[in-house]
Amino acid sequence: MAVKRIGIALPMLGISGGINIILNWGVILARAGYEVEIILPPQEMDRDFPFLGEQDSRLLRKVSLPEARGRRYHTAIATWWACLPWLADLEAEHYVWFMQAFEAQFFSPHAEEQAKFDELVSSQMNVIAIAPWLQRLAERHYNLEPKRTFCVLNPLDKSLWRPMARVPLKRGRRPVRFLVEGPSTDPRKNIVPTVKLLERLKVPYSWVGAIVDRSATGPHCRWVEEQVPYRRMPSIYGDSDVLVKASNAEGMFGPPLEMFATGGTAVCWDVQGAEEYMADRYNCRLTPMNSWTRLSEAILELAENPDQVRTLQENALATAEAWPTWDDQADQILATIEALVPFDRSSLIRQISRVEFRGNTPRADLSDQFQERQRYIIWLESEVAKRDRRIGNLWAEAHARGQTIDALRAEMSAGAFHRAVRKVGRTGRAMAHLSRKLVGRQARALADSTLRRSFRTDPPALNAPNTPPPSSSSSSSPPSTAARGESTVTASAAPTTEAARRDAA
Amino acid sequence: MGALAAAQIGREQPVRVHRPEDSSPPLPAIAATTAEAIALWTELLDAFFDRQAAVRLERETNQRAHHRWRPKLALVLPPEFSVDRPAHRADLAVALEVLAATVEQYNLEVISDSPQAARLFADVRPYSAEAVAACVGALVLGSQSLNDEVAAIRPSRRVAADPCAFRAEGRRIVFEQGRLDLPFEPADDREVVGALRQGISAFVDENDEAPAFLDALRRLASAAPGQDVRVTLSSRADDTFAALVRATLAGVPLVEVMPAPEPAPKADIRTDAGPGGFVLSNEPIALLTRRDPSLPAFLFRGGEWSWVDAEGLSRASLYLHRGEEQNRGTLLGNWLEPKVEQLKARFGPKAPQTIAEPLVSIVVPVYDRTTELIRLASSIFNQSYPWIEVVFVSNGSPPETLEALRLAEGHLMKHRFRVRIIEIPRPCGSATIPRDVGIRSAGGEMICVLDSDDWLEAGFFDFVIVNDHSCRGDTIYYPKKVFRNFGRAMRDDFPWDTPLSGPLAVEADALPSTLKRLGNFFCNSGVCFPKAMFERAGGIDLRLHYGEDLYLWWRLALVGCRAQMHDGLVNIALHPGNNELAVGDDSRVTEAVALACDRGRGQWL
Repeated sequence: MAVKRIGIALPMLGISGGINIILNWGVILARAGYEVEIILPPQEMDRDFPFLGEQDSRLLRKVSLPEARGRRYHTAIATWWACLPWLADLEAEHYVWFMQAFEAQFFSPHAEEQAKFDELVSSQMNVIAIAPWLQRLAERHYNLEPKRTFCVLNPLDKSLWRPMARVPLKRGRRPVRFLVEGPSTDPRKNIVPTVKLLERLKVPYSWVGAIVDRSATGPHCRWVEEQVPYRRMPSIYGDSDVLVKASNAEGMFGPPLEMFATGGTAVCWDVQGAEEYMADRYNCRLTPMNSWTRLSEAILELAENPDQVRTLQENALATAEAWPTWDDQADQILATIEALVPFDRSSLIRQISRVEFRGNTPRADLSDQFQERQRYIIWLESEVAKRDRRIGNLWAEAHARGQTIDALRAEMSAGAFHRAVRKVGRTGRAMAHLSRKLVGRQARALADSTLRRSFRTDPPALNAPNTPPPSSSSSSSPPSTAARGESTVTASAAPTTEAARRDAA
Repeated sequence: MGALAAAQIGREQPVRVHRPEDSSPPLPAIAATTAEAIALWTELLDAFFDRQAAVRLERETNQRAHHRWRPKLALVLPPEFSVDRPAHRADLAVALEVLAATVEQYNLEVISDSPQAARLFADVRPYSAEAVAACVGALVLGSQSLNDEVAAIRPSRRVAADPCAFRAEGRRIVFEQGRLDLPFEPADDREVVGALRQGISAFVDENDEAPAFLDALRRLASAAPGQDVRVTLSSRADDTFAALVRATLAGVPLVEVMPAPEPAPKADIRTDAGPGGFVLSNEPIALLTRRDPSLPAFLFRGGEWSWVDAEGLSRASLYLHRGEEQNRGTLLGNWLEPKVEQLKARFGPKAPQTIAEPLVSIVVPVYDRTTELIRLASSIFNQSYPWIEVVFVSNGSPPETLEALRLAEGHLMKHRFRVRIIEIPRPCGSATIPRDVGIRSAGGEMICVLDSDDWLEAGFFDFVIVNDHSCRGDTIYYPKKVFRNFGRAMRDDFPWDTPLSGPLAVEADALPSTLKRLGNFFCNSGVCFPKAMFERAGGIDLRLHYGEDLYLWWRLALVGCRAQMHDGLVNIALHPGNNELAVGDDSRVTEAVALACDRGRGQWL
């Protein structure tokens, strides 16, 4: 009987919990008699298997992706959603998506990968989830048939994660010590806000992570460790009492279970996956996901109640002891591999084509285009509104300037009248001077009274400066007789008009 | 690429249509497998207030599906438990619903000496101290003395259906702490008789004290001859209990035994008529939730009377409102660590000065919506504020709506928002009850209420971000509103599609008068308020199916809330059928004022 070959597609050989799980499963399958090949991109071929000893590494064979295309597999397994297109080029009887997390949560909300992810994972292939909640999610949200979904619970390496010696907690003896675990760069894990929260709460804490940002820590930080070898992690965990996790996207949620195994407990958000082994107020404290207030309340409660922490730790250790090991779960992975449903790749290829062709057709990206167009229309509307406001301002300014010009024009015309009045006045005074010489006093008095009467019967001249400026139509029309008469009268009453305008000012 | 595969590109793949769970969910693994048990369980699960609880119970109790080692919570049935009694079945349905909220973290063990328990449950452990001690906590069905006995071993609660269903539409769950020390002054028969003014008006609930209580009533009747004796049965009472009460009081002159009243019609809500007058009871909830707490009342417990005084007593030690059983953290806290939690809750939840980076719970009652729901989910997805929880409360919606809810849930999860769905199988008549249930089940410090056909503009929650990522703990934040025309006839100059502001900031002392002057200027959709203040104000008054929002704002103002407008925009769809903008007319304002003045003890609403 021919040996069954299993190809496991890995995008890289790095240090991560997910890769550790996959390589361990690979070793278990190899020991069970399968020929296990790790399919890698060509640039990763020179790297060694992390996490595995030399003996275990020899059980697995590295194969580059181009080479794997010429081989035939019993089962081809994609370990990350972006590896799913690789499977379309591999010849196998069974195709599997090894689902370690809801990977859409890894991208920013509007990333292009979101749509690609939805397309690719809907290709109706087999799914092996590492936690029951992931299995349910695949069935509920990706329309996968229950007969194609399997769950093989992530085991715990109890040879590594053992109870660590801690100084017993007791009120007044020593403070409860907290631990933050994770890289500062992963937005799902909210590590830096967690560190800042602990600093604000003034409780002693430590931080271990692949990448750390020491500037985020403060005086309450006991120590920071970066890129700690996996084997040393249990002792790092053993140095603290309570693990603090504020991540809002997880798969199996391994770190609290590992903390439980060392004899510690945890305070976490109730992220999906936490309920697989965590029970609020029995072995840990779970607070509503995304609530910093509730998390800080729980941290303070634990910091002030060492007895409660000790009870939780005892129960947490019992939980970890009841958790299955790799050996316990070996039968389950073998049974699952044998129970996979055959799959002919065609639906996977269809999904890949949809992803690839989306950019080519004008209708394919309709929603994006529509949103883009909507944004453009909103922008246009705001621009139009701005211009409308600007034009309104210009109209107002033009109107004000027009009024000023009209006033100036009126003043200018009033100036002409003034000049005319002065001319008339000068002539009158000359005539009066002449008459004084030529005629007698009586004749001069008569002339004076005649002139005064004519001034008194001129009321329109007083209103002249208060009239609105002439409109363009009236200004362009020929002067009427009344206007002519008014100008004549005004000219004669110029000094009085001037005085009235000064009063108004 | 193979020729066959290439030929199939572009051909539509067969899509498996997701079907929501069948109308009758499969039975949980704890159920017995006899035909009788299946019929009884179907009836029990059908009586659940939240269908998702039934689904959860089935899914999570199935231990064969996956590895589950978990701590246990006990369901303790008293020896007299009978499957044939409707009252016992109603209590059991409520207890199972409470356990369904915890069943994702705890396993369930049935402990009972009742021979009838095996008719329902596959595995029943005989009652013993060891059996109880093997569990983390216990729920005791009905029996008060058994609850006290179990509480001596593990934290225990007595669970029963609402005895006063006529007051709050049956939305309470008796959740009485074992060995609860009620801070009531004792009274003797003479004091009780002296305090009775208009005859003896008593409320009888079925519990261990009921026979002794009925004897005490006979004693009082003989001590006060000529006084009428009116005995009202609790809403839990079935025919068996009613017959027992009538038989016990048969020899008493002038006695009248009445069944539990029907819920008061809305028109009579302000009148003093109705079942508010009884002053004697063997059930504390009946006396603490009276409409008129000024009359003296006496509780019969432990064979003696005591003066009822709500001072110094926490509601959480006696009962839950519907929805609170879904708030797992609070439920487990109250149940398993009652001392710590009750110290916090004794005088009502405190309102913090400011809430830094609050978790905002968006509560959306849903009835028969599909595309509108998708639009709303999309607008929530586009929010940049990261700390959001969305609670959809389906109010007897058809399967299409449940499908839309499923899609919305999957989409919002990608943004790492917390999403929960509560599925009330039968319509409640209005959004009042679903909204209250949703808010009470929410885990957030700030609540944002939304209707399912409305939607938010991007940056709606920027008022939290710009204010140094915190908001005041005593403020109702309301947004600008844009009314969208979806076929509703409004006046000609109605400002469609225009952002409309309110009166900006209104301080707490001026808020009642502003509400009276302007009506409900909040317009509800998109309004955010602190949950602690909501709890202090007593939540939504479930007796009101209309105008309850205005009454809520009024009571929030009375407990010290101010109002402030922010620059977020909410789009409000005006359909011919909905009634936004209709609330706030004079009669409802008057009613709200009357109710607000009538009550003052929010936690006992």
